[in-house]
Amino acid sequence: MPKVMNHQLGREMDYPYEAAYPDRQFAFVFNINRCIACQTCTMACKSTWTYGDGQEFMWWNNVETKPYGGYPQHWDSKLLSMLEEKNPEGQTWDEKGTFEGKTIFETGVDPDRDQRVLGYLPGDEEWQAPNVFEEVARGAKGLAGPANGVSLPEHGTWFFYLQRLCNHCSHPACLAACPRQAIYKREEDGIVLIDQERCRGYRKCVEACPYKKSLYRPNTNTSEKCIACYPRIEGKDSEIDAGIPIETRCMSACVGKIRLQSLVQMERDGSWKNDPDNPIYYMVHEERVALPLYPQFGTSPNGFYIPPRWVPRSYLDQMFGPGVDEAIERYVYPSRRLLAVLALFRASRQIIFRFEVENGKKVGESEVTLPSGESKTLEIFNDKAIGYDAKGNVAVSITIEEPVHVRPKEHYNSI
Amino acid sequence: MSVPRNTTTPSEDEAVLLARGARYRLVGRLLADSLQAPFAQPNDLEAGAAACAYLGDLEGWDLIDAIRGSLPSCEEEARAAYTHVFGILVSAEAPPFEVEYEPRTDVFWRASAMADIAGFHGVFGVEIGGHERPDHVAVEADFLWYLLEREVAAQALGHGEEKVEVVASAFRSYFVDHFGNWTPSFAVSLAKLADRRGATFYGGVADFLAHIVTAEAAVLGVPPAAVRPPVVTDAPAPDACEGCEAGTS
Ligand code: SF4
Ligand code: SF4
Ligand code: SF4
Repeated sequence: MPKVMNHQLGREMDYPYEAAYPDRQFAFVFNINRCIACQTCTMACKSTWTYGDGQEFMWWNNVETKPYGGYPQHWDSKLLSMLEEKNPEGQTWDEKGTFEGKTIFETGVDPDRDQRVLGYLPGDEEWQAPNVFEEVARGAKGLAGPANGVSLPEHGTWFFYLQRLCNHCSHPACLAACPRQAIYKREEDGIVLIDQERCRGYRKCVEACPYKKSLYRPNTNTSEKCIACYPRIEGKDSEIDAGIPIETRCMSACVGKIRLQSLVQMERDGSWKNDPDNPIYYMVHEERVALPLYPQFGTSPNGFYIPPRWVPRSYLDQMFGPGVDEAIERYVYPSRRLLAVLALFRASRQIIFRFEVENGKKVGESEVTLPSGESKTLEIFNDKAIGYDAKGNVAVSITIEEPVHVRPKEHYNSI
Repeated sequence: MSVPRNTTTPSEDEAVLLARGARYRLVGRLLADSLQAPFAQPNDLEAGAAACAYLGDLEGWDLIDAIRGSLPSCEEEARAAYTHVFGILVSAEAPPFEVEYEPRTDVFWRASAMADIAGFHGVFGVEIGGHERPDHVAVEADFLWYLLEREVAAQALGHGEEKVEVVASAFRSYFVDHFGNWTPSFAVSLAKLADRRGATFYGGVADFLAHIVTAEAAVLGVPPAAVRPPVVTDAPAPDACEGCEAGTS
């Protein structure tokens, strides 16, 4: 089997195809700390793309409450157990952050079943309760005071919302598993699509995608998945001037302002081109405040998460790989530049390709307790974050202190 | 750089217990007297339906679906629906109280049965808010929900197998000796009464309760309890004094 470089694992890995990467890659950062589980994103996607017959149980975007929730049920713990079974006690990372265990491409080869990737096909019932266990916490419930685990850095009783869609992976398992080569990754933006003409509904992609984001549609006998709202990425959505890429439906609908997306530039070897003025590159590679979801699966997902700061680290370590403590520390004690980028989340409909920060006056201070227990004073400056669209025009200009507009008296009640 | 440990994710067994608990919680809320305890809201139905779907309990899901349209929409409606079926005092035809289904009617036995139920609650630190009787169906359903949550918490907090087993066996005893023993009878009586009074909502609730208690008996591997009519206590108890009809001995 060919070898490809998996930069998230810090090593080469087996993959059924030779390495091939797009010029630019669709990527996003979600700030888990901010999500309110309103499911506006979920409904934005559903009402745009999956409202037809046969798509009743199809949610390309979903928000599940961890640790018990999952769509399909227990998708992650099931696969983690399968990997553990194949490689007992071997799924670890070394001190340098290199993965020592096995990915789904390195354990799943079963020529008798034409299986190229370790995975499983969820049963119908596993798709039927997409939002079960919403807001169900783990730990002691109903107790008051510190016994209930209310002090940081880790709460004794906890849950958090995990927002999920297809990661438009750099080493997609869905694509690797398809016997008809009906799945392809676009050169221009790395979006992974299923060719509906070629698909015969073998469900190999459903079985292989570790995130379970390829879904089967029974009435067309094909599989379908998130299309990254590609008409919007191409700037062809009628909502806005032609030619300017705009954020996807699920991103632009986000009420909690937890989502930011962009296209990052790729090197030939699959790494990201050094581009610290791109907000996603900046958060993932400069600040390292956002981490990939289950990088150990091996697909090099392009969705990144700012981890929730109250959750037991052992759980987060398993979910996001190395660097959780550092990411949380940078988030709770952000640099001026990071604070400015955080202000850009959901501030514009146009995709931001580049940002700048203009320094402003100091406007306040705040005492911050780091995960280590150390206290620090965070100075807050009213800096201005400016985001530029694909054509280099200013898409948004926003200050850290939100401007206050007072409605004139005669319009107090008007809408 | 931190080195992720290879931790286990919460077990699926915990999730199953939580889902079973959610069904009990819904039963409790559907049958609560809104003067004493929170009455079911639409989101309770959704949580119950999701739990049924999770458990692969599609019959439960359908039964909840059938209740949806007739769910009282406000506190007054809930109260009116409750008194329409159960009366202001204890309904003789479908009383929502455990001891009314016991063939023994002497007051001492009833008091000690009630004390036994309250004792169960007390051991687990549960006090009943409001003025509800400890043997009310909603209280008992809530208590079973609570025990399942306790079992999950004991597992999640790593309290050890012994403590988990204490809660699990209390759950089993409470179901076998109390809730599971009389609610099949109550569900049958309630269904008949609701039918006669045209109370669609409680008819649906009776069906859901009957289904849940059967499903739970199967989970625990115990036979479903025999159905018996409630004991009509309008007539004076045999050992009552004719003057005041209160017990004499
Ligand atoms: S998340 Fe799944 S469906 Fe999406 S590209 Fe990756 S493997 Fe394919
Ligand atoms: S990117 Fe578009 S298609 Fe994909 S989940 Fe979001 S809204 Fe749905
Ligand atoms: S719209 Fe935003 S805040 Fe709401 S559930 Fe989705 S990600 Fe969370």
